[in-house]
Formats: sequence, C-alpha cells, structure tokens
Amino acid sequence: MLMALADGELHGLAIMNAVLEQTHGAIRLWPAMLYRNLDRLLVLGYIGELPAKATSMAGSPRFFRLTPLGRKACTAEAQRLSDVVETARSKRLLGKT
Amino acid sequence: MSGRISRIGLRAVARILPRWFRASASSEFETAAHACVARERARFGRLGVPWAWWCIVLDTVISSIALRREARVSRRQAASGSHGHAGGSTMEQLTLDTRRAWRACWRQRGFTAVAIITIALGLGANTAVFSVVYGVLWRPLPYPEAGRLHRIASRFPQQFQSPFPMSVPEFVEFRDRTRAYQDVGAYYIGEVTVGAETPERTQRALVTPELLPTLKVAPVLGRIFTPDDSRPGAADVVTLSWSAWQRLFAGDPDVVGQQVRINDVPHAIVGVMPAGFDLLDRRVDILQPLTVDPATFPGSRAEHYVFLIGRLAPDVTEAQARADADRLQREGDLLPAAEHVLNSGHHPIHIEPLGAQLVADVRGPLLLLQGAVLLVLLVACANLANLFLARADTRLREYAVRTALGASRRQLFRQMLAEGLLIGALGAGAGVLLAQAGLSTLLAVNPDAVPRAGEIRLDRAVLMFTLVVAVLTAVVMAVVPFARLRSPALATMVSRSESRGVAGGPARWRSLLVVAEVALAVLLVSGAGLLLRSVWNLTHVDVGFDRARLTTFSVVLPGASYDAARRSAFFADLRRRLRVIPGVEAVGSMSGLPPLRSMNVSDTDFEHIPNDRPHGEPPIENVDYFQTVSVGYIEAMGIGVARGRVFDERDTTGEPTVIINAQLASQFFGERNPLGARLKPPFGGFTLPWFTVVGVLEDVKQGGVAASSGTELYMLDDQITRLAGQSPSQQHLVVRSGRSTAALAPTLREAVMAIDPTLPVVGLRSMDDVIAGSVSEPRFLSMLLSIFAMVTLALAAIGTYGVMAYLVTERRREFGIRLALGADRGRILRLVVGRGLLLMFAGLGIGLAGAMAMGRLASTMLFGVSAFDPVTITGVAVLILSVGVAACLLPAWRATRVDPLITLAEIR
Repeated sequence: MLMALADGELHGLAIMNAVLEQTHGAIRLWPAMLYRNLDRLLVLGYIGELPAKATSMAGSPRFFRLTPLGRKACTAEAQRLSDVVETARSKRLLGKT
Repeated sequence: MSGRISRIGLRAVARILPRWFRASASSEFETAAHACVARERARFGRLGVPWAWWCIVLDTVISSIALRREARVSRRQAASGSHGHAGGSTMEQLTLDTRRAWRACWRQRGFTAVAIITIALGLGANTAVFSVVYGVLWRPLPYPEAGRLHRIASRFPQQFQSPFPMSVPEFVEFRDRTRAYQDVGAYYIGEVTVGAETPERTQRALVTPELLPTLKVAPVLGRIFTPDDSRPGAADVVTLSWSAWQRLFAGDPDVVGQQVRINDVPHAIVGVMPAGFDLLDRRVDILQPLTVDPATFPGSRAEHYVFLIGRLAPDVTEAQARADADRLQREGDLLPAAEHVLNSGHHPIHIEPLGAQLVADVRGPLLLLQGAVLLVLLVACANLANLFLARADTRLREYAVRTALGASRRQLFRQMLAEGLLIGALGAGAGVLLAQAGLSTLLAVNPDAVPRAGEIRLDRAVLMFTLVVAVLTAVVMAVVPFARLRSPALATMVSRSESRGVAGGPARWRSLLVVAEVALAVLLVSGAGLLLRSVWNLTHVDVGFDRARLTTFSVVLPGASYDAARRSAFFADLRRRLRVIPGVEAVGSMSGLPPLRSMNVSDTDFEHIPNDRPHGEPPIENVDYFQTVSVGYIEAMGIGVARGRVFDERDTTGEPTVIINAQLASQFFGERNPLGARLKPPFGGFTLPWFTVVGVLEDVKQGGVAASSGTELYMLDDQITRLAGQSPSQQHLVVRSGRSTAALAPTLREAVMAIDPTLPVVGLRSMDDVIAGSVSEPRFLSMLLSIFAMVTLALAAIGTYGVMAYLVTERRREFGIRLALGADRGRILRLVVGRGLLLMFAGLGIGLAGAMAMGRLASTMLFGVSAFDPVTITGVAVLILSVGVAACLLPAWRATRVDPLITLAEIR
C-alpha cells in the first residue's frame, strides 16, 4: 500500500486497484481490510490524509499521501527484500535476471 | 433493482463495523465494495458475485473483531498507563498459552504420547465403525426421495418365513389395481454371460418399463425401455451400467445403437445408466426388458420370480399403503383358492421400505459393533481421566509454587485449558487418520462382508462429532484438577519437601476408574472370545461332505447354442477330460453348489402319500433342494451313504432312479423304508414315469453352514435329459486332487477352452474357500471385535499401570522405612502386586456378570457356543489377570528398588 502511494496522492479505491496491479493480482484487498490498514498506517504516521478540498462534497473520497517517515519505512523494507533476493541469487536459488 | 438490493445489503454489512470506524469510512466502504464485486465478476463470471459477497462479509467480520480488540487494548493501556505483560492482546496471550502448553506437553512426552494414543484409539475406532453403521444402515438409498420407495413381495406363510417373489400376472394385477402407489415396476436379477471374445459372467436385471421411472433414475445416454420393449417378440435391447460401458466399450460416447452379445445372442444397446446406479446392491451390470405376455398368464400364475418396487403416491403414508394392500387381498379372498391369486390367507402381500431387507441381517451385528466401540471410547475416557488425575497430582506442587509467586487462578486455568486443547486436537487428528486408514483397510480386506459397502466413507458429520468429543473430553479432563486448586492444602504444599498429592479422594477415584476399565475390557474380550469360537465352529461344522483337497468351478452354457442334449454331452466330455489330468482322483458335477444355495422348493409327488388336491392341482409336498448330478459325483464329494447305493453307469440308460438325503427320508417316509419307494419330481408337469429311490445320503448343508440341512433330492443329469428333455445350463464341477487349486487352475481352464474357447470359467476356488466365504460376515464381525477387545485391554493395562505406579510413588517413603526395618523385598513385591490384583478381581467380577447379561442378548449371533461357555470365561479371566500382573510388575519392581538410605535421608 505504501508502494502504491509512492507515485502520488491516491484515494482508497485507487490504492486497492494499484495494489492489485503491482502484485499481478496476487493480493486482493477487501474494503474493511483496506480501510483498517489505512487507519493503522495513519496512526503509525506512515501516511497522511490530505485536507478535504473546499469544493468537495460530503461523502467524496479521502485522499492519502506518503509521509517522509512512510517513505523511509517503504525504502527500508524494499531494501531488505532486495537484500534477500541478492542473497538468494548468490546461493543460486534464483536465476540471473 | 438489483443495484438497490446490493446497496441495502452493503449498508447492512457495513453496520458490522464499529461505529467510530464506520463514521470515517462508510461511503467509501460501499464504493470499494462495489468495485470488489465488479472485480470478482470480471474474474469468475456470474459466480464471482456471490463469491465477492462472501469475501466481503468475511473480511468485514474479521476486521471488525480486530478493530474492537485493538480499541479495547489501547483503552486499557491508556487507563493503566503501562504496557504490562498481562495486558497483552488476546492474540499474544493465546500464542503465549499455546507455547507454554506445548512446552509442558513436551516436558512430559511420555504422558502426552499416551494421552494422544488413547484419544486416537478411542475416537479412531468410533469414527470408523460409525461411518460403517451410517453408510450401511442409515444413509438413504441413492434414489430421489428414496424414503417413499417400497419393496413389494408376496408371502406363503405356511411354507416360509421370508418374503417370496410374485409372479408376473400378480405384478400386473397389483400395478393396475393399487391406489397407494403412483408407479410400480418389477425386476428379476440373475447371472448372464456378456461379450464374445473374452466372455464374462455378470449380473443382469430384467426390468419392466415402469421400473426406472419409479426409481426416478434416467439413463445418461439413450432412452429408457418402453412398453413396446417388453412385448413378446420385441427386438432384443439392453441398457448398460456405467461400469459395463467403461469396461466393454471403453466409455465410447457412440455406444447407443451398437451390439453386445448376451448369452451368445446379439442385443442392441439403447442406453447407459449413470455411474453408481444399482438395484439393491446386486452390482447389476445389464438391464433388459422383462417380457410381459398376457397370453401366458393363465399358466404362469405359480411362477414366482419378480419383486416389485413401488413409489408411494403423494400424501399417501405407509399405513395407508398397507391398508390398500389389505383391500386387494380381500378381493382375492372372494375367489376360489385354486385360482392362485393374492389373498390374505395363504398368499398375502408383503410391503417393506426399499433396502430394509438388504441390511436386516447385518443390523444386529453392526449395532453390537457400535456398542462395542462406544465401550472402547468409554474406556479411553476413563483412561484419560486417570492420566490427567495422575498428572495433576505430580504438578500440584508446580501450581502451588506458581500461585505463591502471584499467578492468578485465571492464568492457571487458561494454561490447563490450553494443554487440554492441544492434546485433544492432536489426539483427534491422529484419530481421524487412524479411522481413515482403518476404514480403507477393512473395506479392502472384506469388500463383501457387509451390504452397501460401496457407500461407506468417512462422513463429515461423523468427523465433526469426533472432533468435538475429542476436544471436549480433553478439556474436561484437563480442567477437572483445577477444582482441586481450591484445596487449602495447596498453601502448605509449597513448604513440603516432597509432593505427595492430596491423599484419599483422587486415589480412590482412580482405583474405581481402573476397576471400571477392567470390567469393560472383560466385557469386550469375552464377547470377542465367544464370537471367535462361533466363527471357528462355523468353519469347522460338518458340512456333510469331505471338503479337503476339493477344487470347484462352474461353467455356464448359453441356451442359444446349447440345447439340453448338447449341454449334457458337453459336461460329460468335460468330466472325461478332467479325469485324465494327472493327479486328479475323482470328478463330478452338480447343478447347485453348497453351502449357500437358494431353495428350489418344488412340489414333489410321493407314491405313498395320497394326493387329495383337486384335479389338476400339484401335490403340496415340497422338497427344499433339487440336485442334478453326474455319475461319480457322490464319490467325488465324499458324501456319506446312509443306506442303499449311489448312482452308477447302469443308471444312465436304465430305469429312472433318485437318491434322497436323510432328512427327506425322515420327513416323508418316517419309519418306512424309503429304498424301493417311488416319487415324481415336477419336471414336465408330472408326466414323467415314477422314479425309484435307490439310496439315502447323509445331509449336506445347502442353506448355509449354520442352518439345518433341509430336504434334498439327487437326480442323474443323463436321466433328466433323456426323460424330460431338461439339463441345467450351469453346472459346478468338483475335482478331488492331491494338487493345490492354484496348481490345478491352468489345466482346468485349458480343459474347458479345449471344448469351447468362448466359455468363461466361473468361481474357480477350493471348497475350503467356498465354505470360508459363506461365513465372511461373522468372520468380519469377530475380527473387528477382537481388535477392539485388544485395544481396550491395552488401555486397561495402561490404566492399571498408571495407578500402580502412582501408588508406588506415593508410598515410596513407607517402603523405604519398611526396608530399613528389615522387611524383605519379596514381601513388598507381593504387597504391590496384591493391591493391583484386588482391582483386577473386582473388575473381572463385574465384567463377567455384565458379559453374561450381554451374552444372552447376543446369543443369536453365536453358533455352537453358549453365552456362558466355561472355556471362554476361563480364558478371559486368565488373560485379564496375566495382563494385570504384567501391568503391576514394573511399579512393584520399582518399589523394591527403593533405597532405604536415600528415603531416610530425605525425611531427616
């Protein structure tokens, strides 16, 4: 979800679709799970909610963006995974790309 | 419209979420949910919509539980201002409990293993047997609304107990006049030879066109039979079973319209039945129309060979159907008795639920078996209680220390619960595996021991029941010791130098449990012992002939290419060829193979019994079995000759002669000398000359080894062929030889092939196997019961060992002091073993009393052995006591190894 927000500000539904796309359909988010995780990321300070636009009406979607802390966490996780892949490759568990 | 419904539905689903969460995300939740539904529809088509809904609801429920829990935890943390361990989330607590339980179980590996094995054995046996009982007795037959199907038959109460088939005219009258059944069909099942190059014997059902509509089963290919198919002279058509279609035509989809040879006559295939279709567990492979020819009705009223299946009309009850049958019978009562119609006097209608007669014979044994495994479960539970009580004793000190260090009762309870759950779950898992393995082994070893074996499988309902019982048992057992933590003695235990348990109460309970276990084991072991003896008696019963070194097989000659004279000549030729095989001592042939024949019950005219029936009516003297045999048959079988002589070559061309068995002699001749008397078998409507009785043979078991022999008449094949123009198309050959059946088999097959290579050799096996096969049901039952008895015995031994070991631990100090004071070790040994034997004797007494009470109930399943059989009872007593002594010996030996110095030092 953090990765999906790395490209810019998105609303909940767009995040759901982005995650589906990034993982080639492997991770299917469902609504309650999606908003619960967004809430947790908000509490952890990894993402922030954009202030509602003046023109928006009640019930229009909330937009989220990555905070610097969230970007750091995302980078760290990606780095860790990349290290894992590197190690796996060095042990010839994966083919060369 | 559907959009509105889904909006309302989604709003309802959203209400599952906590209010504060809903407030921030409600409208978006709905939008996202709609998107999800669309996404899944794109993925799975129409099915995607319900799937998406299911996922959304599940996701919402799980998330809302998690949200509420998180909220509670954060509230509590805010209130206490701490992040203390006790306040960890339920999830963390659960993981912690499981880890602790795992460690506790691992520390006491022996205990855990025994507990798991105990649960697995008790539950595995129960699940397997209940699956059999359910599959055989209670699962509905595989027809739509099977509960509304009845088997309709007739009865001849004066002659037989069991239901008897109807004749075709009786079927037509019943079908046309019944008001209770919406559909009635009739069937007759028999064997035929199918195929041309590699012919095989298989089951064929002749059915009326109404039968399949009555069962509400339709062919998967082709059509059902029409009334035209059952008219006399109609084209030969056939419907194949699914397996015959696969076997003979490799599942060819264009099979309809092709030809198949049945009894050497080509038949056109018009249909294929669905997989799993059968008629009353007879493994029917071929369906053919039953010819119904009203022109023959006047003469065929007495030819009873079809059973009827009726489907109750809507809103008609079984009682109303019986009342309607009564009405039909009363109409028959008005006609003269000689008309041979269904009437309430000597030829009433018999109605029973379809399938009832199929399982009637096994109902008692199966329920007995279910009772037996419930006892096993009971013993397993008692054992489990025993194990947990014993463990609680040893762990009381641990609990006491932990309480003293500030563990709350709640925490201790949770840990005990977790341990119980863990052991219960592991035991249940092992039990299910055991049940599955046991079930498939049983069915593989004894495929024919119970009817409907094909429908037996591990049932989901049974599995759920098993799991619940397992977990519940383990939890109760684990938590029971918790009640004892209340004991004020607990506080003082910490200061004790040694855990001695809380003496008195639990020890007494545990002894009682052992007594109960032993009693139940005695019950099962003696039951199994009696059954084993029954089976031994059944397989060693005197069947009336010498079954050793005897090989048998049969050949069936198709009527199309073999008339009576050719049949007789064929078998004479075959016997000649068999006789010259090296090692063959004697050869004979017969029309019916003992010991499981169906009765012939044919009217026979005895010259000395006056026939006072109205003119043209057959005599009423019924002979149970007719046996058409060859010269040399009686010698080959080794049947004892009571009086007179056997058939010889003179008889093949000479005067008509018969041989009777001893029971026929006593029933129809009484004190008279039967030799030289004359009688007429019913061939050709009593137009044959009189047959002279030339010999009396010892009785041969024809209707089962456990039944009485019945009356039997032996006739010579050559004479019947010559005089009546009849000869059985199927004959069973018997070959007496020093060589084994396996060694003889190829030569026997070659002899048949040499005459006609298209004929299959059927049922080639030794006569011992034939006899053993006839008692497969009691053998299966006794085998199972023996296994359960052994399991129970093992459990009881474990229980006894546990109690004695505990006793020794508890009294270690006492033994130490005794030894220090000069008691000799033998005395201690005797003390411990004596205590164990006391429990054993108590259990033995109760168990034997119970076994005798039960034995009377089960006496119908016993053969040649009384429920109070002294040999069995003595054997059981010796077995139980020796197992008991063995279980006591290890603890007793440990008691004598107590080092008095160490014990005394401990006391100080």
